[in-house]
Amino acid sequence: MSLFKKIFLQSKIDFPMLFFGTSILLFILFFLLINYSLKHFLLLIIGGALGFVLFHSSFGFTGSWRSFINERKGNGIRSQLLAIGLSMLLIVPFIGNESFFGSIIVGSFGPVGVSVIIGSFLFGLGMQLGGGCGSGTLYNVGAGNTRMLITLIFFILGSLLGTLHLPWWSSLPSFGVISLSSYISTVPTLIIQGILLIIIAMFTIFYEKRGKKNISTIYQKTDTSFFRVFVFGNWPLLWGAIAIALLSIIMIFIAGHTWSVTFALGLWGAKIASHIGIDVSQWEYWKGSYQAQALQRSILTDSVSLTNIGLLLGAFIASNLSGKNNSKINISLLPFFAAILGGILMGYGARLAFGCSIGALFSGIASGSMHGWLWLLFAFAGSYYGIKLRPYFKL
Amino acid sequence: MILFIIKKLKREKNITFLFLFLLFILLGFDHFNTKNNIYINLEEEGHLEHHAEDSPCGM
Repeated sequence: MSLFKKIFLQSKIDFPMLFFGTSILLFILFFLLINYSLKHFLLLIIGGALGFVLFHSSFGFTGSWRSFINERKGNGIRSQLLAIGLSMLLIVPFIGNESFFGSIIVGSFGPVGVSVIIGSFLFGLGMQLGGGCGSGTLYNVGAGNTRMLITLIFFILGSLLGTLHLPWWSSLPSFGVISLSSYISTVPTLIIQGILLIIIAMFTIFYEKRGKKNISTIYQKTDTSFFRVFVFGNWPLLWGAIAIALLSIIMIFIAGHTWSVTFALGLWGAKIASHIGIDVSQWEYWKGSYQAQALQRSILTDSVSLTNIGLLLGAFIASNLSGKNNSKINISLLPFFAAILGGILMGYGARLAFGCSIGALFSGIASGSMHGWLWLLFAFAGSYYGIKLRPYFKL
Repeated sequence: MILFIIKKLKREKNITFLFLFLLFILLGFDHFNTKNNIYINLEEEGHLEHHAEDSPCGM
């Protein structure tokens, strides 16, 4: 028996569900290529790859921040810092250049102000109650987590409410957008931000050393073959960090903008609201040219929606390959309420903070925007209080 | 295919399966509902620059 056959026979693959997920993905890919363009086709593939990577490497902000606060385990945070640092090396120098499809590459920029402070705090609080950040919610829904499906539904509702109130929040005091590279040029931005990322990584090691003998690592060599780990999961965090950085870099050259998640959730909410008779096009947020166009067009033309849909399907496929997709309805009352509250706080907070852990933190810092750093500080504070609230919801 | 869907929903109460199926239907509905807008905007897209103020990620 060949090694390949042996590995597949020993696996826990759910073949019917794998077939279903792959069929939907291939159908949408084919549909995009026929009706839309190569750009849309590629964005769905990138989203799918992101979902696959996120699931197989269990790469998430919520759990790793909680592990750091509760157990002094910092490898998750260090893998995130590595991913941000690697992305930054290629994103900052290319902002303002032309993408593969002709549009100008834009970074993720938001104002340094009260709106981001409040929004990121609410987001941090919500992600600990909801059980995942923007990308974490999507990949966990794809992997069959029922509670996260509730979180996602209320995340969408919270995002929609956020779009209604954002103009008021934006009128609060702010220093405006602060892009480091426009003040001190590209190389000093990379050096200063690189040093900051290293300082945070060193702090996590120092903090971890005070509580434990062994420091958690982002890479551990195992006896399992590369093929088996790659296809069926349990990736080291190092693989996840490198893969996510590479995919986010490829994304900016195809989409023309950095990786974002929550804009699409607000858009989906606005679309649903429009279909049930609420005229969101009259809301100030949806009058902006980009937002208005996104509202008029099909969801399949929106680059952020495409990567989100791909992410869901990629995680669905990955979880069925590893036999870990457990979609049965199994949720008790208090965690159910936590999912509702967490979802609303995250959705609302993400709009106020101009993004989530991906759009504001990951892409913000990788673009050299100061709002990304502010987001990190206040979302971490919010997470701290969110973790304290978890026992009240039996989490 | 239809039998497979009914089995998954009835016996296994597979909620993710249902969600993905509904998402698939909604995408189709949205595509056909906005069909008249697609071609106009895709043509415009080629001529527009992607302004920072109009980005989905941030301002």
